[in-house]
Amino acid sequence: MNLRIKPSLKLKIFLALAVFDLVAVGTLAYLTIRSQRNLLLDQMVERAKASINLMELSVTAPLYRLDIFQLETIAREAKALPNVDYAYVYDDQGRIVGDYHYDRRLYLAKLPDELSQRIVESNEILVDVDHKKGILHISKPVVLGHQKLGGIRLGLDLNPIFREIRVITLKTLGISATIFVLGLLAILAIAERITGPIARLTEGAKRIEQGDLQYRVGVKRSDEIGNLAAAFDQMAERLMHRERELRQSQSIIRRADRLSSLGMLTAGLAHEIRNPLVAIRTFTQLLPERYQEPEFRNSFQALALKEVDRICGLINDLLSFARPSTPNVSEEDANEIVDGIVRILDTEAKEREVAMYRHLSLDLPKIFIDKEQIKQVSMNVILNALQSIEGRGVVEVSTRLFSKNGTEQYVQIEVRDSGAGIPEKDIEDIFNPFFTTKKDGSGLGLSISHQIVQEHGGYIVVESQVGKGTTFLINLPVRQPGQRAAKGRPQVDEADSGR
Amino acid sequence: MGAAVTFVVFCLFLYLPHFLGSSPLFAAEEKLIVFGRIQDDPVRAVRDRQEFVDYIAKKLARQGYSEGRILVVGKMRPLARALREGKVDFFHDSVVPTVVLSRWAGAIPIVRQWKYGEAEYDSVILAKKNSRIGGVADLKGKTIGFDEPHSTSAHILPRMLLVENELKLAPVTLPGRAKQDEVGFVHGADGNAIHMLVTDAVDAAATSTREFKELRPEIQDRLKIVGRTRSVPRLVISVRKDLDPKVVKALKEIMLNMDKDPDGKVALKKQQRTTKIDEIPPGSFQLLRDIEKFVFSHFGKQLDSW
Repeated sequence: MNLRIKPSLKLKIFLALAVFDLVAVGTLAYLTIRSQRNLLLDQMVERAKASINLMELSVTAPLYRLDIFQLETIAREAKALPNVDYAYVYDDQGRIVGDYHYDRRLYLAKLPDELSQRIVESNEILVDVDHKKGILHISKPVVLGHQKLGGIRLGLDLNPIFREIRVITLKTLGISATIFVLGLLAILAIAERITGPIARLTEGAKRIEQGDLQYRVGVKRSDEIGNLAAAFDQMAERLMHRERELRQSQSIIRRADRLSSLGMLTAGLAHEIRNPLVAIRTFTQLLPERYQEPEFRNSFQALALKEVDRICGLINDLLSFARPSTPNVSEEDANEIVDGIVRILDTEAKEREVAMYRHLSLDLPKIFIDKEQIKQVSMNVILNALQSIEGRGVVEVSTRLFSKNGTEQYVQIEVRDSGAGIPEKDIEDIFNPFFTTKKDGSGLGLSISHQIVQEHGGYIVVESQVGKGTTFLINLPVRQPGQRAAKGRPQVDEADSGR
Repeated sequence: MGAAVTFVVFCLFLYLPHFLGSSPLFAAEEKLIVFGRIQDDPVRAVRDRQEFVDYIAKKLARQGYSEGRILVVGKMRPLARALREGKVDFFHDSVVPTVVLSRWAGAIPIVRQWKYGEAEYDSVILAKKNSRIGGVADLKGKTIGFDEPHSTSAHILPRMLLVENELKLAPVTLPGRAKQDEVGFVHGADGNAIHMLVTDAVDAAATSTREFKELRPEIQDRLKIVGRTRSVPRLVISVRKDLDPKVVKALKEIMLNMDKDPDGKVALKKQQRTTKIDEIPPGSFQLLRDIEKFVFSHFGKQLDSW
């Protein structure tokens, strides 16, 4: 199971800025707490120094005289100062000679320890912070003139400071957390502001890709994203304009294609029209002589009407084919369209000594198509079939209903000829514009046909064998209007051709 | 080869003093020159005099002294003992301790030390301007206030003046009165005698002339001087009796020349604005003897507590 997550740009921006926010706020909080902590400790040290300096002033004279009663009093008074945990006075040997609770008799009996020796021997204030016990130890030698008299040592309770530090830490963390959350909200807004237009651009690209050229991003901003959105909208506008121009060009080309087809039929059509006219002319020449013969008059009337109707029908078909059409999708019968085209081309087939057969399915459903466009497709494909036959041959036009993949239903128009066939190397190119193997061909017919069928959501399949003939399968979907047509290249010799 | 040996010998010659100096056998004994001082507050005593003693010690380096120390004691007896035991080499004090320690420990006065810009000072006996006391003879039947018993200026010298004027002194308890043929006296604390006079607790008070001059004008205006003592040296510097005469000579020479040396001037000034140390005027030796005689005859055993 592939659980790979593809994070969005918005999520990436959010996460990156959130990490930055966390680091920035965290660093700020850490530095604030540390500086406050150091400040409080420094203040405590300064107070401790002031206290020990003050104590030194009062302890020097009694220490000089070794007045242990007074030293004891001083130590007791020092102990009574705020935050003072203990107070010791050492003599020049490092022995305790004054503290706040010891039995006086023990003063001089108490042996000097390493710390007291170090205090007496040092020349400066010694400060040591015991974080575990929460005590600040501060000591100082007592010197009078050049004589070291001893030392003093104070222990200051740091727990009130630590409590204050804890309160500051909690407050700082609370404020930092609030700033962090506010930062996250701001980041969310920033991420939205950055990616919102990009999302709209993405949506716009999709919509345009789907053919909705009316879509506009509509982001009014003066930054790069605003410029990009404006460029996008401008591009869409131009694309719409080009699309309009393209449609106009396509319309012109399609009309030219139809006229080209008509041009190819000119000889046959002239013959088709001339024959009835000759018959009518012959009857008209004989009319003065045989006007009194009722049988002649009846035959003339019948013949003239029949031929005129035939010519009128032919002209109507031609006009219908040649008329510039506007896109008009309606429910139509494919058999009727195919039949009309075959009728137009019937004379051409006869001229070419090609037998044309129709196998039209009687149970075809009506389909939503542009009738004139499908006529053009049928004309192009059937005319190509006729033209591909050198000498005598056969063109079979069939219609049928088939299901693709068992779900989608198509009406299929099959045009099979016994012509020369298409070389395999050319099959891929036959739907490309301006590709032709004919001397006087434009190379647009099949290209336009493919485009029309594709616009109807259908597709064309070609099967051909050189020397044996070619089969074109025009597949038009059976579905309601509004249902989107599938797009793609024409399929050649496709397995699921629907035959 | 010869050059190398010469070089080694030369090097040994160069470093010989160093080797000898670092050897315990040849190392010069580092001596302390110790200054003695009688004062209740050892901190102030040391702070005011350390620079002076350091200067002396530095100048006595030729005599083998490397450092100056100050020994502060509360009374004269311990200082006398320290002088006898050689623990104090020299000291300074006013004339009374000088004569007492001279007798007890054989200390020898060698120079006079100025103080507050004065070589000598005297004391005065004051009375209210509106009183009938016009001189010391008028103090009969009156009460005089002194400061502490050991105060030279506010007790010993004025009392000596009264005795020299054949007045008989007797202690009284306030608000008691003296007998008609006697001068009653009481002791106060430092500066308290003037206060007793101003508040009419006593009829007269003794103090130094300098302190009288420093009184506020409105107080001064209410007082008059009814007696004045002889002038005595401000301070006298003495040495222990068994101090090496060479050292004594050097010490005396150093001190007499301190005011001519900028560093010496500074060191002197730090010590109660001393400007000078000079020879003891010949006349002062007789005065010292008079004071010694007076002190031992009048105070005897009391001196042990001073």
